[in-house]
Amino acid sequence: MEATNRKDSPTIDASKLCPVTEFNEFKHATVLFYSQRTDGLYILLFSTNSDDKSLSVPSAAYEGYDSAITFTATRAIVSQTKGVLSPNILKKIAEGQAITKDDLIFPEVLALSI
Amino acid sequence: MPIPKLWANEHYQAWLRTVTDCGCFHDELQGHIFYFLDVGALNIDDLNANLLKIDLPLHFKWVKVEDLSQQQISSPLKEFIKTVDIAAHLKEKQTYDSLPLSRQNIYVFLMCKPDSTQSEFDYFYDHLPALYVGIFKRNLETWLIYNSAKDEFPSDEVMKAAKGVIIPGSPSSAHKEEPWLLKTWEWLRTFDKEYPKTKFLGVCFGEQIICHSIGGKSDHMQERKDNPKFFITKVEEVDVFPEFFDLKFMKKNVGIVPNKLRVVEAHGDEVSVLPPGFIHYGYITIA
Repeated sequence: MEATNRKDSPTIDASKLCPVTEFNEFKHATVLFYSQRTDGLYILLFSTNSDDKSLSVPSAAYEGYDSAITFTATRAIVSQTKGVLSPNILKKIAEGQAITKDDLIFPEVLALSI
Repeated sequence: MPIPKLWANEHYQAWLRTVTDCGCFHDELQGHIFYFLDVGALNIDDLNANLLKIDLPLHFKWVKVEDLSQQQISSPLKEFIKTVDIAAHLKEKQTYDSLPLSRQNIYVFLMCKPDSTQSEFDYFYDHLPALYVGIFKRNLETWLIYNSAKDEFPSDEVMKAAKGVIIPGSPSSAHKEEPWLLKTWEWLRTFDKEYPKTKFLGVCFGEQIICHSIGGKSDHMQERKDNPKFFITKVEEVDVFPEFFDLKFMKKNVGIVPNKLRVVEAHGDEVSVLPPGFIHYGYITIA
């Protein structure tokens, strides 16, 4: 097909090209680990030690290198819970086995939390 | 840490898949998404005791939803529980999940990614579902992810319910006569014939394999024929014909009619012949 270049068209206004309703433009991701039990719904919170009354959930702001908000949420989980909720760890706990730092995550992922 | 190194990490991959597959999230507060991940009846006493033994500064605590407001909780969650009924939100999702496929908002995401990995950058293709889901998936949508290179294709039941099919990029060439590609061509021909009203979106390799399967032709760019290692990665302006902006969905979304769009391109192949009935709406100088 012959292509033509139409130079007389108006300048692009990026804000009008695609309304944000057509794609997700999240600035922040938060992850809530939960458990639905017979006596109600529970949310899993964490602190840096047992005496700390300030409780958190994995949460992070979107950064350009995330590419999409799914990567932001993953980064929040990996960096803030250090992978301790991974299935292999939970399986060990359920079987009464002791966990080691090597079980948690590879050192390079642990480095993300520093 | 270099990002490709992180992409290759199996723990990172597992969590990214978990977030990508997460069916329940809240996306109605401006600029903020809340994912809900069910971890079942986790015994945190044992977990905390183990974490203490290995000196990891983390302590977990279960809190009933109705007691959250009495806790000293961090900011995003604090505001969230003031405006959102978490239990009701989860219930709404459970109700949606119980609907038959025909009443759900089904989207098929067909990856075309062989297991073989030439470089760490190839892991990028494994993460394409996470990329598309993060950018486009909304609450109460069902995205079903398949990989034709692993012989995974949607069933007839799924295809009958599908509102759209998305085929993303791939490290492979769409025109190569490899067994899994031949099967993907055949599936696309059947899809084109039996579901002519289902919308599909092909991006890069996706566009090339759709065209190649149903009467067009995909091929290496001349530069790649001359140099097998040729691969173009740049931002380039696409010349767009005005007819493109006459399309119904473009009229809805675009207030003005530009003659160029800036796109990121990364490829070494191109569509050299369009299938019958396809309309050409734009071009770049190189492909």
